[in-house]
Amino acid sequence: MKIALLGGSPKPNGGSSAIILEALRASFAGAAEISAASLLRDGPQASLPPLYGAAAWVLAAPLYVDSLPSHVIRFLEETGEFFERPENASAPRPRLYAIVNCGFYEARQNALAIAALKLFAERSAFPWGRALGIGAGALWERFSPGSWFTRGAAGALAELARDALALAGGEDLFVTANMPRLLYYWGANRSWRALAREKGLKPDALRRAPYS
Amino acid sequence: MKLIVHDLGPEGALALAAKTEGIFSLFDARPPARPCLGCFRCWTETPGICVIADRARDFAPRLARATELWVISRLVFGGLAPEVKAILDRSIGYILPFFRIEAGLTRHVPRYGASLSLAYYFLAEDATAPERELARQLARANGRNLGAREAKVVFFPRWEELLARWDEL
Repeated sequence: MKIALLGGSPKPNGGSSAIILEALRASFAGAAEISAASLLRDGPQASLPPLYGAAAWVLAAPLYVDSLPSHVIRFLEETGEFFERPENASAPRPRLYAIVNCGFYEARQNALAIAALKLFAERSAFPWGRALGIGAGALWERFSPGSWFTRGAAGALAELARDALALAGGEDLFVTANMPRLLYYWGANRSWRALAREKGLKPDALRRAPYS
Repeated sequence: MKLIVHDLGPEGALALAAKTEGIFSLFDARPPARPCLGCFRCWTETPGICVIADRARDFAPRLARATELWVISRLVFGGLAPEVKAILDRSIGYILPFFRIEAGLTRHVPRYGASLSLAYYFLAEDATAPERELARQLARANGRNLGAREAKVVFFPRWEELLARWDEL
């Protein structure tokens, strides 16, 4: 069976979404033929052919402004148009699985982006698989998938992988960090200030309002 | 200042400009701007200013000074069209990276003091009920994150109907 992994992060290194997809790829090892595409780098025109023919697509994307990033929406729209063409109308559609992660602590804040993916699937006649929403997604860039902090989401990811291999479905999964919310905030705010210092800014400069 | 971001084509954009002259500042989301790269440099390196040098960067100064933001967009999968979404994605410098809790959910802290009034006008000839419902939820969520007082949502089949009912909005 062929499974395609669709990277929805615009970051050159793929950020948390890429790390999550790599963890997923490891759990598919030997059980499926994997192809992959970066939706921003490759674009729909280039990325569709290798994706075409896969039994399942697993799309991983970050949450941007409460929804999918603009380039992912564009990919979905162009993909829908591709499958609507008369010559592709009867082509088999892959089963769609989705993983959306956000910097917010609450995994449920990904629900609107997941709902948009379901609406795409419905409009484009893609069978729906399953979705996983991950809160505190930034931790994946700092800790390994096997770490204490990400172990809950890693377990849900393994469940999603089993479903994808079986082309099975299930209810949406929402999992956040194995860490109290206030500790996550403290760490996140500290890391913003540390990044500012790296760029030669005083932490207070982060609050500048240049267009007041 | 009242600000509109829209994805109307050339004809619709001209008609909108005629309708709003002297009242609204208009920002055309077409041709498409480059997408946000998730670099967060608008939060950590040039606070409040996107580092990608294209026309989308001109939206943030206008948003910062706006009291009302009207978003006119094709309805795509219950949300914004990619052209309009790219402009909003590129404007996260409007808020701070820091977190706060509001109604039990994490939100970003506002960068600018003034509260915004939001209105979404979605264009779709064949919108389904779930697509409309998701659009309403998205507007509410955007409103909360942008610190808006309200987030109005209205659907029209085409821009012609939107402009025909402009005085009622």
